[in-house]
Amino acid sequence: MKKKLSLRLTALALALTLALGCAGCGAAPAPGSGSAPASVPASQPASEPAGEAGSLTLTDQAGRTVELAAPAETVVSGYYISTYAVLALGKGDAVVGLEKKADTRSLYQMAAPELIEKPGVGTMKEMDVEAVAALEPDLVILPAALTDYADTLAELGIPALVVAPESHEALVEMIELLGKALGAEDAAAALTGYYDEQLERMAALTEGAEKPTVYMASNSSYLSCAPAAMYQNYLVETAGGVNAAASLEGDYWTEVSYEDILAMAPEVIVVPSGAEYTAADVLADAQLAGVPAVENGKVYQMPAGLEEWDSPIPSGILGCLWLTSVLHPEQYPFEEFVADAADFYQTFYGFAVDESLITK
Amino acid sequence: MNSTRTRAALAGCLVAVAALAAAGLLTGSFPLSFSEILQDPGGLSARVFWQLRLPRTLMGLAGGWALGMAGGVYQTVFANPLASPDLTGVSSGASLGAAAAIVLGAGGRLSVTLFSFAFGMAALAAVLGLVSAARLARTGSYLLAGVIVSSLAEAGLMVLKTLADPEGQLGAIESWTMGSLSAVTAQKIALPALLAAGCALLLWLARKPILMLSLGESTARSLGLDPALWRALVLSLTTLMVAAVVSVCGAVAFAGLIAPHIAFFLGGRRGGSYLALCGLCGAAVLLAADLPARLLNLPLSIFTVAAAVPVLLVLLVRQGRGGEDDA
Repeated sequence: MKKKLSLRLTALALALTLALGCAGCGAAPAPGSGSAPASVPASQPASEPAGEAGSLTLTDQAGRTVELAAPAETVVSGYYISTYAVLALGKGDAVVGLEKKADTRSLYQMAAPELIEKPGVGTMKEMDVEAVAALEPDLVILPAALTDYADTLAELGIPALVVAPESHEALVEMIELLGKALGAEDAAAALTGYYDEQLERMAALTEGAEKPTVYMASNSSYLSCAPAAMYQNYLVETAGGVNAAASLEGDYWTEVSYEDILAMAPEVIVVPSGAEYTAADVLADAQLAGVPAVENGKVYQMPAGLEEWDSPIPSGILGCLWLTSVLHPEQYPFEEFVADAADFYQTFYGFAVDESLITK
Repeated sequence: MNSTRTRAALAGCLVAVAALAAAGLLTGSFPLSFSEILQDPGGLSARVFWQLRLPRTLMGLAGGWALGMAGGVYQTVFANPLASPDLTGVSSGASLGAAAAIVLGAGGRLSVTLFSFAFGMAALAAVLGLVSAARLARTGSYLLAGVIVSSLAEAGLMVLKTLADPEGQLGAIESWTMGSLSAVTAQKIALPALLAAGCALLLWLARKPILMLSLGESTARSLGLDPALWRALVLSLTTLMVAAVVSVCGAVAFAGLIAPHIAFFLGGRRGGSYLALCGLCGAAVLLAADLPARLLNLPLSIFTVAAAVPVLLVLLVRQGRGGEDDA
């Protein structure tokens, strides 16, 4: 009996400990909460008055406060869009490390082949923090998915800026932020000024023109398309079109059936640059034979050998211009677009693009 | 009382764990200089050591110990050589929680940690609830309830994978479900390591009732044990320990399954220091798997699964020869 009582008492003690353990977990301060303050509205200024001479206090796109003793001279960019932006701001020489698989990016091969030889330190999933620290950069730029790593780097004393270019406005904000962080504000102003100028120009060119319905297919399949909440919807509207899938819910590629596409009856189908299929595959699909875009041969593919123009990247403006020339060739001939694109790459990336790559 | 064989096994495992931990402290992408750490305690080398290198090694140690010990407890209580943390649904539940945090955009690793912990515990609550509802507080009921909860969590995980953005979120879910110590920092290990250590200590104190539970309902009762109460307590503590580890390391496959087999192979018995030996073997497995994982930046499970294959093959051969009677 004594043994039984002892076992029951031990069991009671274990149960109490377990309950306290669970309660403690719920109430305990969050581990790794880092130095990031609560989210700051995007409308707040991205930089504040400098404390010491030359020092910068920035608010990144995750609402974190980032302090730099001076504009960064060496940078690790863990996200291809921010690496593109650093190049567009004329600071390619500052890059000491970047995202992995850099050799798969055509832009690097054309604009800065030396980047391919730099250490690859992370992916969209994770970052090798020790490898970043070994490079001792003045600044690390990371995508929002890696915000936690930015806090870890901050704990090591390495400033890390989180960027989230998920829309045209956020792209502009990112470019301005990087302009400040890298001491390239003039270059940033020139780039964003170019965007404004071209957007106004396209609006003027397509004003009053008929707006064709456009089906923006995804990279993985043409039975998946962009709903209204995606950047591609902005692309279509800016180019003077109407998104055929604008009534679909969600903010990511949405799967649809052949019947859905027939019901949408798009006048133009756009295949993105990184698609795993071609415009010819779409045209050859007998199930789509009744779709106006297929009937009229208006299935176009964004150039495959350049950049992801259907994404909010620094050259994303060229996606707007490309689509405008596709939808409104009379107002904006394709040859004119090719010249504009070549001028863009020469001006902002400093290389002469092979115009044969600019196709539709 | 520990036999000479068990003592030798414990000593050997301790040496192996110490050597692997030392190798872990010396391995990484940053060229650490220990003299620099001593000369400049506030320098980058020192910060990398204290913030990253040491916490990662300690988490490997604590996480491996917890998973190994949990596997030992499960296999003893369920009297089943294939029992592991997956059996109670905690790993699947924690994976579902992590995926939910990733897909719902709850943000960084912190939300993933908290969600996975909460879902892991919810999975345990569901298992206990099912057993209670079935009014059959027997070993087999826990196994069946665990399979049901795991299946439900796996179904939920599949739904979330379908909803996930393939470029970012899906990759993050896959990465989490394969386990990694790459995001461990000093700030992240304190609570889970303390929780795991507390649970491990309590389980160690409860090692005799755990062994009694393996003898069956009537025998345990005749020895003065309330089997239903003790089983619920022991499994809850074990699951809490696993959830604490999984919430930081992700779901590390097979570490909790193979460690008890290695421990039994080395120690030759399930009494005495068996659970401590399971913990040491688990720590050795995780620390060893983390060495190539650090160098190649790959998930832990690739290496723990690779390590599991020969262990399970040996188990198969031994069982075929009737050399081990675990059931």
